[in-house]
Amino acid sequence: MSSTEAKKMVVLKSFDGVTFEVEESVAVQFESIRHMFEDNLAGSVIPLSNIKSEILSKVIDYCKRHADDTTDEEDLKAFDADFVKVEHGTLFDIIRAANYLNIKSLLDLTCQTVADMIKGKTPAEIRELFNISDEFTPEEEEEASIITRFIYMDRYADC
Amino acid sequence: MSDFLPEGITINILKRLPIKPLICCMCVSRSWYTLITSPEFIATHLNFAIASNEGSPLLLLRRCIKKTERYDLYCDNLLFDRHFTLDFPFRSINPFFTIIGSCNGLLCLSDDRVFYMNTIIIWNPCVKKSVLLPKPNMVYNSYGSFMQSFGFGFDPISKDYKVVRITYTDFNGRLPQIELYRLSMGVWEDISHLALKYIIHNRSRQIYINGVTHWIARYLDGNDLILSFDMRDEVFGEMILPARLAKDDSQKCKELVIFRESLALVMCDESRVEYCVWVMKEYGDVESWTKPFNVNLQDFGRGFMKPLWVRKDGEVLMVTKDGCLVSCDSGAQVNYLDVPSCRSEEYLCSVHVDSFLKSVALLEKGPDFSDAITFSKLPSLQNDDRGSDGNCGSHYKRSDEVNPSIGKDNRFHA
Repeated sequence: MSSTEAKKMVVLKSFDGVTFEVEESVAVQFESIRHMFEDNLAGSVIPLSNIKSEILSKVIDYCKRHADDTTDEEDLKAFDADFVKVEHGTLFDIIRAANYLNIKSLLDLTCQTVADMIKGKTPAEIRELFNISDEFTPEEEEEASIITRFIYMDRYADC
Repeated sequence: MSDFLPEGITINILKRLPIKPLICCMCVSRSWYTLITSPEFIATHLNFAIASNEGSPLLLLRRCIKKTERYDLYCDNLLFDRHFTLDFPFRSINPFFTIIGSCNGLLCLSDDRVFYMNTIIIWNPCVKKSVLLPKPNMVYNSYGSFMQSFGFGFDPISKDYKVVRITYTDFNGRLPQIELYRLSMGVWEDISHLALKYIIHNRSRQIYINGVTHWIARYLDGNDLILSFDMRDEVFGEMILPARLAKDDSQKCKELVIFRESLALVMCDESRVEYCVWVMKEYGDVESWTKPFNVNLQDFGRGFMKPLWVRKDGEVLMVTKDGCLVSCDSGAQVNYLDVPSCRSEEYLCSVHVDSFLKSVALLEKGPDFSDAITFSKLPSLQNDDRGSDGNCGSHYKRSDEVNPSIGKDNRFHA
């Protein structure tokens, strides 16, 4: 794209009907829908039926920041650190959106954030974080408990 | 699985966890337990660990002090910080185990320092799982004395761990007997038909890299070369060494190591003052051997025993005759490392350094594979398998002591 050419825009529509106009240079980070706007379907609206406007707006913010070559690395790190300081529910929504749109760097950032949250939590706390309810059968519980006898060994705390 | 997240995302999160929180996650739910203990997830977790380990590799240091083996992990950084001490659950008949190799977080050990006890263990110290291998087919009781070498590695295609055992009954041109153990199959298979005539240096360590295990070997009275065994294709190969390295000179000590993800060789002269590090820059390209540096300790009074490893900054780790662990750079600067030392013969022989990567390999194995059970299966001195004179066949002396009919014993092929 030459600099004299008008910036190509892509229109995205969220699950709750809000439309977002995004520069193509930002939208190229949406790997999974790239083909839709690269096939010259200029002006047409791309529906993202499983992403809420609140989340889509955050994801677009992230991609805008990461498409900007002038941002230096330290600023970008600070932005990323701030970006993931959201409620757990929102964080998981962003992960699902990043997964759906296949934005690798955002997926790495958010998954690493959740992984860091898991560290130091008990199984019950992790269940709560992930909203998991499926229980073990007694036999499975026993099998898992064989493993747990290794868990609470302090010397392996940093393993 | 949580109705909350697709499995792909859960895997993406869990693969980033260190071992302890990951094991904790096994107790979260039935589906997470199944997921984490699946071979596919273990491989994913391993690949992520390999990719993120490159910046801060760990070294395993094994020492034996007063008949107790210690296994410690150290960070290969400036200060050589101790990371943690592994619980060592096994007991050997010999003074200590031979460390056959380290691969993907697994250590392969053999109790064969003096007596060949046929106790071969694959052990993941981080998840405390181990496998005691069945007894190989070729043992002293049926074959008399022999000498053995092992290789241990991973087949990245079948995701299987394999141990290859090479036994020489005769050094006068008779081909060795070869047995291959695949963890997925659990039995030793005779693959002697693949044998090459090279003889692996006695006690030469093996190095696994790029899916291939390597040893320094020799063809009868010829020059040294590198003998390799491809863990995927299950075939032997050979790599020529540059003339200076290949020269048959038994006074010199040659050890294979890994240096910055490349196959490397440390050679020291008979006086143990000059150490050369050679690196094969392009794996498999014999023209690419270069000597980036050597360490000359001429001006340094204390005697050195043996090179142990080459650190990522190019310093050579060595043990001195006084049992001190030192790190030497190419400027002949000798740095004493903060590791308790010991002067005993047992200690000096037992010091071993290898690369190490923390992984959850073997986690898929059920409780039968926990080390408590393996431990009770280990042989005691009352067990069979030693010669009636108490000598177990490891003292290979001269080839004329070997019964020439040994190789024809059909039991081996049974």
